[in-house]
Amino acid sequence: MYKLKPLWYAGILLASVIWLGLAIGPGMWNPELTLFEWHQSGLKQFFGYACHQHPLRTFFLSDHVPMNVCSRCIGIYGGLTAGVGIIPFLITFTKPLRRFVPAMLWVAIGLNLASVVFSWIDGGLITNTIRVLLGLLFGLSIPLLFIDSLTTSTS
Amino acid sequence: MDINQKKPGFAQTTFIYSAIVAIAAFILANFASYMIYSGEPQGEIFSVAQAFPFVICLLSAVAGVLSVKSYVGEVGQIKIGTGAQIGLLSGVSLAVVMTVLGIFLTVIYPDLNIMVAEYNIENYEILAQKGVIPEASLNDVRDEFMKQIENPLSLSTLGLSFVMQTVMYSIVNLISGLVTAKITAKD
Repeated sequence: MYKLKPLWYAGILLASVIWLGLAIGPGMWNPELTLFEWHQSGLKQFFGYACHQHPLRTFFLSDHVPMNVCSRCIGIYGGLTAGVGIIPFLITFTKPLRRFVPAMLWVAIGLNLASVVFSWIDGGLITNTIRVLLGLLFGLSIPLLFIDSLTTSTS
Repeated sequence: MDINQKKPGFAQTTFIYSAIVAIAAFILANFASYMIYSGEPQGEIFSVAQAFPFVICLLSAVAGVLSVKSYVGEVGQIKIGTGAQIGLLSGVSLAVVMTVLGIFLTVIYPDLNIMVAEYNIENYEILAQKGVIPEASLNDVRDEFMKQIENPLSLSTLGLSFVMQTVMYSIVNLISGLVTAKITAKD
């Protein structure tokens, strides 16, 4: 029988939700923001350390405010948050499946690298929807890798 | 070695790997920046130069991986919490080394900073001509970059950049350190 470590779990879930919110960016809470104001914002610059923020590869909110990160990164952060969110539902019945998670991580890394190469070869081949899905797969596999560390055995 | 046995510290190894990765990423990014900023701006809201911090960040994740791998090679097996600590230390070390290198480069080659500022001002002027940004905001942009030219090593600029780098590199390396510790534990 496995039980979640509640404080660790709550802290990680809260941090990942806040991080995802910040990555989606000011388009959520300030739709009147102009593209230039977004471009000069501190949050945009902060996420610029981890993402290229190319406008063509980024989803826009309210038609003109880009998210703070590109479609692949928003997929990764969304996957991380979703992965942390579903851990309580997975801890009891997925033990035999957990050994496949490292393989899932490597497949996600491989597919993401392949999509980057295909984007270089043909810019139109990989759409933002594909990027967000590949990011999601990668992001999802990270928290799943750590289910054991977030649980304690009660038996 | 038993996992609970007293183990050697990881600080020195972590700092060495982080410094090597930081120096490599810094040289690569600044060389690429020089190539971009010595050219003519095209008046685009996104330029290739904006992707350099992202490339550095991606490279920086390697520091966490290398440090954890090296420490695991030294002591056998580690707890994933130790992987996280090594990752965090890698992130902080990277930010420190990058900031020191940045200060050093600004001191020995101040023209690069002027070149970057002039390129950006010209780029914004073209953007204003195209109507992408309001003409009224141009003065603010010029003021901001002029401040950067006059005082490139101001405490606020350096401090803000250092804090942002520390937070971002620490998070990225925390994750890369955790994942490496977890995967090497499986091996």
